[in-house]
Amino acid sequence: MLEFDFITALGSFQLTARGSQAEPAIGLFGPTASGKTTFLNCLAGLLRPRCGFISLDGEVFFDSSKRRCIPPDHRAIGYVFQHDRLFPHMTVEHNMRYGRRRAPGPSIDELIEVFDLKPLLQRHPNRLSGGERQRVAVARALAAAPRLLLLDEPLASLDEASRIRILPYLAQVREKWRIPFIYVSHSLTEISFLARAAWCIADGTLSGLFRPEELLFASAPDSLESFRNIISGDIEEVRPECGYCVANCRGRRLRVRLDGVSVGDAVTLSLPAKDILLSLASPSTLSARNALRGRILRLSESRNIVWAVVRAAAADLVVQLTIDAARELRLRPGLPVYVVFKSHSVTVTTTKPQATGSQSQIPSLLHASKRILPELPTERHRLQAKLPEALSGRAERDAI
Amino acid sequence: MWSHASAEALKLSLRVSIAATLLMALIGIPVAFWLARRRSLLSRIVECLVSLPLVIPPVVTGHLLLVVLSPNRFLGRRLDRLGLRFALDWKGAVTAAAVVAFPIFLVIARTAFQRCDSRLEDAARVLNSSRARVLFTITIPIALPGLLAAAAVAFARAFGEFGATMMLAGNIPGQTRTIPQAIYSELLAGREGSAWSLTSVSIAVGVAAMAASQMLIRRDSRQIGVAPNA
Repeated sequence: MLEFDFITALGSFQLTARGSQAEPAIGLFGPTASGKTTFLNCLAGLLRPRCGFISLDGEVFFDSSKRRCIPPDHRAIGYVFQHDRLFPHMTVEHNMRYGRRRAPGPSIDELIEVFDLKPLLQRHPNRLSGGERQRVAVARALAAAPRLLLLDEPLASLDEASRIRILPYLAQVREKWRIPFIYVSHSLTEISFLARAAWCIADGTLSGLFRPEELLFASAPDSLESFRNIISGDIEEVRPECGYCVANCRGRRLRVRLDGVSVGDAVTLSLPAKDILLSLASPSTLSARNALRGRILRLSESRNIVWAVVRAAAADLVVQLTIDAARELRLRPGLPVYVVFKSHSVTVTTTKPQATGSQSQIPSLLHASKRILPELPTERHRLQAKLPEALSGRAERDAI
Repeated sequence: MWSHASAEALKLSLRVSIAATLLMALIGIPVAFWLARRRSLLSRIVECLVSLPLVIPPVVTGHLLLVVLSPNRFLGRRLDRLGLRFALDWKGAVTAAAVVAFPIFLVIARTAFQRCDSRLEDAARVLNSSRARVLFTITIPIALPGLLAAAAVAFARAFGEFGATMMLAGNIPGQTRTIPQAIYSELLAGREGSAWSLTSVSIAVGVAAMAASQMLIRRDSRQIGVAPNA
């Protein structure tokens, strides 16, 4: 477990950080230039804090009282930078093998398979797209068998589609290899997809832990506007004559936009929080193609927006509402509601097309990583016991 | 008009320029790396001093070298006792050529190191690599085309060195008469044809060096190419 309590200064900026990594996957949220990268650099050993200590699994990396500072090459911490920092004079394969050390961890072959790097191995970084480069960067960090992986806004330099395509790969770090990681981002969408808890940096202080959706209330208005629910699934049916296709997300069938997918594709769905309606009665006279029965978990208000977290079919969806609507419907935690959204509100991104010929392992691996807004385990168990009918998927309109 | 003397001058020029280039690389690579990575008052002073030969007449540089290395002076006498003679010797020609061409080597080599982003070195450090391994597997390989370009251009400059060489090493046939000295002597003796053949050799070496450096730098840019600020 990572434990730290230090103060670091860069010019006139000072950062105070104290905490421990109680969760294997933790997000680190904060506005631009709030000290997120400085914090990671201290953990990795690229920057020396002014005073304090840092330890991982009981091994002290830094202790100013004992004048101890372990150099970065003896910390076994993986680091994925905002810009991939691939070595331009090496092929993808040599990049991946560069940091290899004798320690149990993911094998190179396994990484090539999971991150789909086979066709890229002999290329040089300048012959790769932004998304490919970032995939190689993550694989390279993992090939070094890290005890902890730091991800510093690895998707910030990519466009929306590449971001959504890479997220499921990152989820595998947690699901498949169980390597603890710290995911830095100013996108709550990404943090809530990957991590169950998050720290927050503001005004030179790191604090936490929060549930990712709790941070919605603390964040800047622009990131509130764009919050998206991210859901993994497989395409089960394509029905051009009806204008939609059916994505199976953990047994729950959602009708989504056609977007050029074919049956069997592993996809990632992106659904903006502001495009979701809540209804108290079964909405039989609406044009929206999706209505899931669920139950409100939490409600809170910030900056004149009400945020509702609704559990619908074992997945939590964040819904953005006006104060007036929340008041009129008398929304409260525990209330059963219908979650309603249009097929066209869901952006579908193909993560991995159905392999022609031999079926690759990836779709089944993605199956394992399927989850929306993960929550703290204790709470999950309690709620699962409470909501058997919501989990069974009976109430779903498309199921007919 | 290719005489035995011309061949001898060419051979000597090649020997002197190669030795001068090796000497520059030996001293210049560490200094260029240091100048690229650390900016301090000391580094500015050092850079200024070693760049001086670029802006003062080579004759002046030669004069100063002669003052320092002459066997009658403090340093020269001690070196002479060790068997290292510079004045009126081919080693003096090497020294003069190296000192005059050094600023050119340094500027190009420093740029080559600056183009190797120190953030790539950080990335390599985090990938379980010691400082030495990072230097030999990341920094130097990425800077290599630039370093070779620096060597090519500095070689050409050393090949053409005249003023400082004349002052320190003189113009002794077979010992210190390099191609520029030979051209000068041939013209004085009225053998214009012979001077022309040596002149063409000089121009060919210059063109080859520039072409080589251009090619190396172009290939380097293509490799670093799209890499944003990786």
